Amino acid sequence: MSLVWIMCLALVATPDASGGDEDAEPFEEVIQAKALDSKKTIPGGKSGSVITRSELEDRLPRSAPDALRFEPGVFVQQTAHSQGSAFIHGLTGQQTLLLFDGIRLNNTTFRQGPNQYFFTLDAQTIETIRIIRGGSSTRYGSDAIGGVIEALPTEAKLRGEPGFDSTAHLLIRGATADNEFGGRIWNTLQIGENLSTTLGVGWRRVGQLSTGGRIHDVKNGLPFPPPEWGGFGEDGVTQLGTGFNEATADAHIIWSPASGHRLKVAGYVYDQTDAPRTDLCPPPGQPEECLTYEEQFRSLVYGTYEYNSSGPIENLRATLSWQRQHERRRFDHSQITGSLSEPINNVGRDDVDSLGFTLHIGGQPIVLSDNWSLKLSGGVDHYLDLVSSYAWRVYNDVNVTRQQSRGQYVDGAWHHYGGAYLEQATRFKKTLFLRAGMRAGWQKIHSPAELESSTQAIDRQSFPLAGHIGAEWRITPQVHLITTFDRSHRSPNINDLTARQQTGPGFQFENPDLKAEKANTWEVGTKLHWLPLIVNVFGFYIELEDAIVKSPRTINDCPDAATGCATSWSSLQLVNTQGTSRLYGAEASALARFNNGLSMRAAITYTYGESPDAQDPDTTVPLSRIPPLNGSAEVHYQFFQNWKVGTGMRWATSQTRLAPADFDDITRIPPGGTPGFAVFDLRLSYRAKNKWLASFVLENIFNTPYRYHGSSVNGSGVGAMILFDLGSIWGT
Amino acid sequence: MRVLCAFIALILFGCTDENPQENLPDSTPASVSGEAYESALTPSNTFDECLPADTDYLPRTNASADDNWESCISDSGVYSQLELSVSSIERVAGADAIADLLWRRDTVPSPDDFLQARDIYTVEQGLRTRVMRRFDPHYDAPPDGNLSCGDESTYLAYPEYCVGPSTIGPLITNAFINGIEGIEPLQNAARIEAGLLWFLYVSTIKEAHTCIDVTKDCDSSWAYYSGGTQRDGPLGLAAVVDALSSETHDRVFDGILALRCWRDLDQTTPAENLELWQRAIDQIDQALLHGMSLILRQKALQVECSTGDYADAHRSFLEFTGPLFGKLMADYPQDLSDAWESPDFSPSEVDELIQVNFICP
Repeated sequence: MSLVWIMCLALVATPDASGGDEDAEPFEEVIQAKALDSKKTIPGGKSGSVITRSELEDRLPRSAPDALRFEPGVFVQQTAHSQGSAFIHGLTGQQTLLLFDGIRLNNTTFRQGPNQYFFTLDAQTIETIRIIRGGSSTRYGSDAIGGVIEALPTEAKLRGEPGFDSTAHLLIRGATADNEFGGRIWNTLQIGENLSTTLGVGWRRVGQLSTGGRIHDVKNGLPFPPPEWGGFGEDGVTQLGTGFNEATADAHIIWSPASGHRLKVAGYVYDQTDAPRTDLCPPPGQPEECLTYEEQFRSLVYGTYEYNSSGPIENLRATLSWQRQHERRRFDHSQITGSLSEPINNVGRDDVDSLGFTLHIGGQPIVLSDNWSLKLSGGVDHYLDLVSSYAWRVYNDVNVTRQQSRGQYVDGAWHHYGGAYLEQATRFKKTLFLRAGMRAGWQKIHSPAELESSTQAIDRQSFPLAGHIGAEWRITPQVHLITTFDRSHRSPNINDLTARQQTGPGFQFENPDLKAEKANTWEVGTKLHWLPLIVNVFGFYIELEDAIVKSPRTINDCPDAATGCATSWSSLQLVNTQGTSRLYGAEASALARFNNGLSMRAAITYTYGESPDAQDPDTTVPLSRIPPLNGSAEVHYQFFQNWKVGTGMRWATSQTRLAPADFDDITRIPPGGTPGFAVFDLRLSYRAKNKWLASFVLENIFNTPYRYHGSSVNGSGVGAMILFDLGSIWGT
Repeated sequence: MRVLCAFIALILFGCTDENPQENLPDSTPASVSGEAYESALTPSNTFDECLPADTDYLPRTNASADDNWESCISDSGVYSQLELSVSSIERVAGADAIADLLWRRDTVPSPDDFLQARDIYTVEQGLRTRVMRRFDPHYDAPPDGNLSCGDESTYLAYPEYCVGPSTIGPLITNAFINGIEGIEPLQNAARIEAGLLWFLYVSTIKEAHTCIDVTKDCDSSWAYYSGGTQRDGPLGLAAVVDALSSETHDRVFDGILALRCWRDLDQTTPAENLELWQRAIDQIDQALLHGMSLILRQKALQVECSTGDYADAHRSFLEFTGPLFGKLMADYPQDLSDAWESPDFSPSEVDELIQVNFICP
């Protein structure tokens, strides 16, 4: 009640007369290390980091997930060459929230465990990636248990003066380890003071990945995957089931009709084709089979209105969006005998149309007394996901196609979800900040019954709550202490409640009785700013109630007519654990940047996770795919203004703490654990005064065989990566 | 082209491929000639002179107290699963479901029946996947130590060892294709029956071998034989054997229990007591091959008692299984070798040639 009163007060109060940057800035916490060259920020009181375009151009990541690899607290798993899923605080997939320019990528078909969807953003259109570690459901809603990853797109700047500019850019990149070649061409029009547009297309062709070779099981030292399972070419280093094609298109218009008002309409199309799933192309010992994502598309159209003023409302942002996530899978059963070369295909097609609305309003600081001031913000968001899902079996040798009674989901399912939130930040002098927020959410799910497959109807709704409270004490301008408690949640979605799918550890079938998982996260940390050195150290502790985990099931548990369930090497069902799962860990990063052009950066992350055994709650077992101790280090030296040379190193120790589901994950995780690694890159780049860029990376210079824990695909072997950004190839 | 398409269709629906159009076969059963022999035929058996070997495990006799095996988990006569879930059980259930659709029925199977059966056969991680990797440990493995028969070069070079992809798989696939197209439904159903029964037979033996390195494969051996049941409720291959001779079935089951007993007494991985394992495998091998001999003898008798396409169907069964079976005989009579595809096929002679070589299970 008091929060509502304060909100009303905020709307009528006079903004802080002494406003200006000095007072406003503390409310938007300047982020840690990267703040030196970035205006993008992490919400106050949170831990996190920001990746800039400049860093992407130095590191040359293969994809949006790949761009996260050097970040503290982030561990990127890959089930396929064309996929990547980031772990934050030991959680991934549907337990972390992915955003693109403030719009949720997470939808109701995000599955438990790693997923491929952050890959469906064209890394060449990304200006910045924000990583917010820790629960964030108050602001962002369901799924933001482990953290939030938000990609912010490149944007054409407004000219700001009369006239006309047209510039075209060509970007070309390639890599030898996977014979990648691609690029992007785009044109920007700046018309008058207030209007700019950009139109771009991109493409990429990626071949099979050459790795450092098979890794070896930690315990018995045997090669993994075992040679008799296949998975690698005859040279022993080419990983089968890799390679893919990409085509992208993007356009946006920015119009500023008046000072403080900004409209943006944008569209992004990402088409990935012919991308095999590495762990199932081929499955172990079945070289004649292959699961391929024939089509993995994302189409996003949205419009935003932004308002900034010095009045009571400091900023406002409203977004309307439509997004389609399209996926078409084909599982080939080749005959490979005699003349019977035509394969049998299992084809599945899933489309999710998401309609979204978000509104965020930030108020000006309100002076409460000489020492106290208050800032309020709040908003509302709502999404509707509409699911269509089909499956067919195609016998090419007899020209027969039969539609299955249901797809991975039940066609016609839908999911409404959203919430309203209010946050406040109270400041005492310039040293103490008290932050709190609360969200009232809602969700309603419908999935029709499907009798032939014995799928029951789902109709359920819930009203989840989230909130956070925290304090930041700026002991000195150089030393900040931060502590936060956050309550976030993840409501079961249509995938959890209805999906039947072959996952890494086995066949997973639905559980319509799942409850939401709730996370209580405590974080404590410090930010030390002794320029040129910046150090951040954070510890976290998460209690996960009703954690949703995969639990082994017997054949008798398989639903009737759940094709492939009982014959799979293992059957699984998502269940809520009885009792509390726990994750804790620490993340530290350090950055030093000197005036002579030298910069250094290092990060280290430790995570520990355990959960009651889903089958024996009195026994505690590790949580699945918890990353091992890992970290990164980079050193760069800029010279002659335009040149930069550097090196990057990523490392991880072995991970032998395996969950029960990990032991079933025979294609991804060696039974004795995943070995550790240290991989070194060399970098060299030249920037011609913002005109053009050439960047070169020699990756994995020692050709080390390595695999991020939980992945199917190994890291690339030694190879060169190169990027040319030809800057303005024509223009006025 | 996709780039252009994506550009034009920006913000619309992308350039997705069309959905497959359903296209089903004609469901009319093909006409067949001849008549089936309605009554069950059982080859004659007398086991009066049969005595177990000194090395045999005998759980039916005083709960194994009188044999030369140490006390173990199988002494109660019940197979004790090593793993909670045994996926091979579902494959045997799939084989039984295919049997109900194609040959364990009173009417001629239609193309749609073949299609339904193929759906079962082609289930992910189902029968087809295992047929296409199955090797027969009776034969020497490739010398390079590659035990996988999945790649074409291996199974073409070692067709007997890689019996699944080289022999069983093509037979079954061809039979499905012809059956769906309405060609020789009875004969093609019999070929599928032959292929699947041989697959279950080889799988029982194969899993008993690989249980040395992968403990849970003992469960698979039991499941491929019994369908995941105990002695008194056999499914799959065990049901077929039991219907012909309950003593043979019991002897096979004793052997399966011997395998489990060995794994109970030797829990190391890989196993160390290979002498005991050999005793178990010998017991299974002899009894199960005897069971297969009964199946072949019954088919031979059915050839004699049927006419037209029905008789041809039983011949089709024997044409496939006969040569495979013969090669496993210690002494493969030339007359029997010649008989399988001979135009002068003599059912009673085949029955007799097999019987004299397989007296005791």
